[in-house]
Amino acid sequence: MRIGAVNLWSWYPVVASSDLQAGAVMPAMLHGERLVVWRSREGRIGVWNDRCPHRSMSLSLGATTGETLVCPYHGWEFGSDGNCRRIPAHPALTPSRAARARVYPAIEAANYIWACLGEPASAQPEYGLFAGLVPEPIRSMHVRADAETVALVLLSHPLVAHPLATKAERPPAELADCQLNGDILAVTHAGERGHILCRARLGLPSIVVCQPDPASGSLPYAALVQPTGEDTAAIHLALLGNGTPAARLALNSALVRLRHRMGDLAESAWLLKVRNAAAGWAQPSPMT
Amino acid sequence: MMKTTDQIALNDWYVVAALSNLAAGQTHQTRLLGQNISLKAGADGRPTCVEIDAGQPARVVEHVVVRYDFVWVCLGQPSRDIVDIPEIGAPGRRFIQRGRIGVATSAQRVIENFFDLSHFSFVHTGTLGGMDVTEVPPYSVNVRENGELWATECRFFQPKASAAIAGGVEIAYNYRVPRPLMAIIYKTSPSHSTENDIIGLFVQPRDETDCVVHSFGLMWDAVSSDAALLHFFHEVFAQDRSVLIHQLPKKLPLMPRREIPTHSDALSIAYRRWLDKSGLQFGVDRETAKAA
Repeated sequence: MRIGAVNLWSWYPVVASSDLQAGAVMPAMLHGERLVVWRSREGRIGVWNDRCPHRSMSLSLGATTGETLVCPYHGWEFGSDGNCRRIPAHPALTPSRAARARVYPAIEAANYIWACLGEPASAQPEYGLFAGLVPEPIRSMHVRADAETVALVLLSHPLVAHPLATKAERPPAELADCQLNGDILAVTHAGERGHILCRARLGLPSIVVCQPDPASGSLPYAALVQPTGEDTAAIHLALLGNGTPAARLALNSALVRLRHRMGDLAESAWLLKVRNAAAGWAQPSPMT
Repeated sequence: MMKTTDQIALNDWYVVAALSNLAAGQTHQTRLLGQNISLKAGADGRPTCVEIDAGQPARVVEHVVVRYDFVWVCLGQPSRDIVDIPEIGAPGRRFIQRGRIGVATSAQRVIENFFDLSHFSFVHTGTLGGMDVTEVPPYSVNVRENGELWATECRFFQPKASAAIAGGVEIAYNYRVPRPLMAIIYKTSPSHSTENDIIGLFVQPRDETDCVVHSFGLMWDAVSSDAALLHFFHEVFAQDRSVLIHQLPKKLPLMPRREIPTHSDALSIAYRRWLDKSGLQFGVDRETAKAA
């Protein structure tokens, strides 16, 4: 089993809800596929192939007008179903049914927008690991590493962020335990101020949840991994539950430090240990 | 990329420089059809051209000609003469060379954008088109006996059709596409309404997905300075360029259903068919549509 492996029936996060205001249009990447992500004035979201069917222009350079997405080249307007509604060169014409953008399944849940490039296996992303807490997005960061490596780094090297600490926190001294329970991989670290538990559901490899021992004063968070390309990924970092601006800042700093060390951490003994533990799990086929 | 083996592409003529940009004794390095070349203007003003391989002169290019104050090169054996443009040199209009502009896409995408009427309102808002008049009336397309592709009776309302005019006016257009990577516009002159202004594009294909656009204007305009004419052109072209570099694939898809056209694309549809029949490979994409 490759954790973080690409599959066509999983949901992957593409952007934080708060980064996509009503009327906004932006580009995104998922598994090397160029996407346009947009939100209508009424709040409907769309995740489409970033290509106008007419002359292959990037729709992510376009704009919204009310409930439609407008191509910047010839002004073709597309409704939320991807069908072209209006061709300005011929205002009286009903556009051909062939004039439609490719629309991917998309859903907004837990403060993120999620997309699936194939047939989703579930109605929405399985985020039971959040344990009822709502992820509060901190920032999204692009990294030059594949999604599997990123997920393994996050599991094996938790972000230690103590908002009241006067000096930088030391990383955990020991990777104490690594267990596979069902499809949940649980990694326990012995930290300076208590244990830190990192977990990922291997059936949904894009979510890594980290819960420090409350006594440690460190912060619980979720890191959502978006495989942007074969060798690139984005990490969407969120606090689990409410936090102060200082807490958000501390986690952000920890993530920046992690990015600087990504290359070294990818070669580490701890990562290898987590990778070996994950190897025991076999991904069920979505057909069964 | 290496020099292409596409004989149809190799046996055609391409503009690679404006003569006035070649200082006597200086060399100008550029690239044509995947081949690095070096141009040099001799003491007599006659340019010469050599192919450069691995940084060294490798072959003298036999076919180098100056016409219309541009330097034309054919890397193969010319299959025909350089296109005749009788209006250049005829009295009345003012001839202006408009420089060279690189665009990271195929020459065919540039040509298709050049003769496209329906983008004016959205890409050239306020000059060549306006948001209030976006409709493209029907026009005629035909391939003439000499093999040239033409569109005639084109009309479009333009808020500011040229550097010489302030107000909006309906402009009549004819398009002449004599060779695959060359196109000439004849449009109503805003200052001489019974005459045409002419704009020509000679696209130099550096590689299949990279080109340099050379162009000229022949304008009925005794008022505007050269700088004003160039400013107008460069503003328009910068807008086109910002669209062209975001079209994927960069090579022009020829097979139907790869890109879905509408009525106003009649010339684009004809251009793609005409290119397909020409046998040209360089810069075109002949993949068929993927099953949906």
